[in-house]
Amino acid sequence: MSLLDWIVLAVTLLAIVAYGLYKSRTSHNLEGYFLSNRSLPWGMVLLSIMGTQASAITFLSAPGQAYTDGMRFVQYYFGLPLAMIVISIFFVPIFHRMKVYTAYEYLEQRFDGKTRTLTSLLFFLQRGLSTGISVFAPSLILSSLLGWDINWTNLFMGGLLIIYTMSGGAKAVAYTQQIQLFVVFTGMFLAAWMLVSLLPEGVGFIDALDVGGKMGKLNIITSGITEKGFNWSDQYNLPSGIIGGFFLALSYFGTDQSQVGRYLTARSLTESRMGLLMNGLVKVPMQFLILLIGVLVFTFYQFNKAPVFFNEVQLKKLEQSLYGDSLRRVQLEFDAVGEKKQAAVAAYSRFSGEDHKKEREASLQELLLLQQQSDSLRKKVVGWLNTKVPGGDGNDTNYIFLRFVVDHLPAGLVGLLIAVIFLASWGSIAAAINSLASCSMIDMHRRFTKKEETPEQEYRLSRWYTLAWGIFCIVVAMFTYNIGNSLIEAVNILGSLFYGVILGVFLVAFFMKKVRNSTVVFWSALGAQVLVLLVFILTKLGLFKMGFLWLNPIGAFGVIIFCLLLNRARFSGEKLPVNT
Amino acid sequence: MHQQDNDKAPLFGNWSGWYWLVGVFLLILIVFFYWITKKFA
Repeated sequence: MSLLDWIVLAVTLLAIVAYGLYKSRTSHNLEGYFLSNRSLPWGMVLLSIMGTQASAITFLSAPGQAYTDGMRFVQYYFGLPLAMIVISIFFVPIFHRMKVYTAYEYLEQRFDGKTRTLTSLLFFLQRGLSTGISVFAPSLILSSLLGWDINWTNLFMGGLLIIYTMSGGAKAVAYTQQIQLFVVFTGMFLAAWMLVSLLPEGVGFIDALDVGGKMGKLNIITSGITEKGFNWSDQYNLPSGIIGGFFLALSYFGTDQSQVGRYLTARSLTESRMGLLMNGLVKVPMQFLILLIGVLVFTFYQFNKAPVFFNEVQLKKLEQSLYGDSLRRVQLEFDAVGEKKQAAVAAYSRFSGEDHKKEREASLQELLLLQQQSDSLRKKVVGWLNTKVPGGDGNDTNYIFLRFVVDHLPAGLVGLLIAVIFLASWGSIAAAINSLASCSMIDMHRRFTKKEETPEQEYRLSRWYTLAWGIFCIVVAMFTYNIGNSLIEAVNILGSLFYGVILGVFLVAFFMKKVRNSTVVFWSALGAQVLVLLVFILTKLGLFKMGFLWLNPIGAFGVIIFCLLLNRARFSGEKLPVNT
Repeated sequence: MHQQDNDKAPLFGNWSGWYWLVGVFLLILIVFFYWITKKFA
């Protein structure tokens, strides 16, 4: 990185911390610290919801995903708008009417304390670990690309935001998130602009899309249906996106305190609903545009020399292994194929119009053939890294976009895009730490401490809980480094392992008024959690194939079905009045 | 559907209008994406 990049990076990050501290003034009680006195307008709620969901990996992984697999990943978000509608109708009014601080607080009023404790613990487990890995994942990428020390990167990634999150709570989180999103979108827009301007003369945006589309990267809608029927192991297709994505979004936005805590900061029920519904309108187009950047990166590398593998640290590992000579041969072959590809794509772009239809078609066929050759060479490298190199990782999806940034963008813009990675991370990590602290205080401390505390004392304790969770997440990030890269992938699945069950408990609470026996709900939730873990283990053992998104409906319906069965069997236990 | 705390939906006057807007917009996006998939394939 140049001096200018360092200046841009440092100024951007320090400005955000300073702004967060400036906005830290809040009343010294729990409502002020965790819910910003329920005073925010819907626009800020919307940006806070978006800033919490979009982590650094969203902006790194999505373009890489489009580069390798095409744009079908966008289908993963198709269930989200529908979930926003359901949450606006059923979830938000109840949370507002009961004036809860956390989602799990409602479960004690509806069932009992142990159901609240169980769901809170599942939340701690899932959110605590995944936030730790949210610190680690972008740190690993930046340290690999720029040669930074991983521990210091972890510390900056997870540490600086603690200053304003601890100081200002939910208000500071929401105010910094809007500035963070503005910087993030500006950075991504400039990167897209540069991508198009770096294409050869005469090749514009539509031409770039044409090349990407002809090479299979604009596969936005896929059915998941093959000759053998529906492919259950296919992660991203229309049915899994709408059904699985719906349950995932319903669980995440309806029952995960990191999101519930955002829309509870709204000044009224109307503002909460508006924030959620506007998120339902903008999320899919936003993901579409981020993925489109990946297609532009792909097209850029058709006209320019591409690396055979985008993670250089892993490539060096392979070079130093027994496969070093094989890698050098593959690289030479890959570069030779790349040069032919550049000639073919240039010819394809040159032959436009009806007069050159045949030549254009011939160039395209040659290009597709060459792409197959370069894909198979890349697969060899990936295969060696996955199976032959100790500690090797053949997944370079998260490195593709930043590799392009570092290698091809001008000084200053590189610094801005590195800042984008930090800020995107901070937005989601700060909200997660704030929500973990609110659950610790509201769902645990207040219930299990006998000592009466003043609002000022509770406020001070909440700040310490925020600090403690911040340190916990950094420690998880440090340990993750010793375990390896595979956990980055695992964290995506982690949510699906627990979200479905938590959602199931809430669905029973909202819609199954006949279920009043709290013990039924508690054991149903435990049973469904065991079922989800069992299904997951069986898929990992290869006994059957299924995409991880399906774990969400299995968990949710598992709780509902177990509740129906146990309730019918007149399971004994204390009966509580329905209180919704 | 609950209407509470002067919970009046902006623009449409009722929330059903907003729910339809979100649902129909998703449908339009899916149709648009399908068109792009076919057009550039």
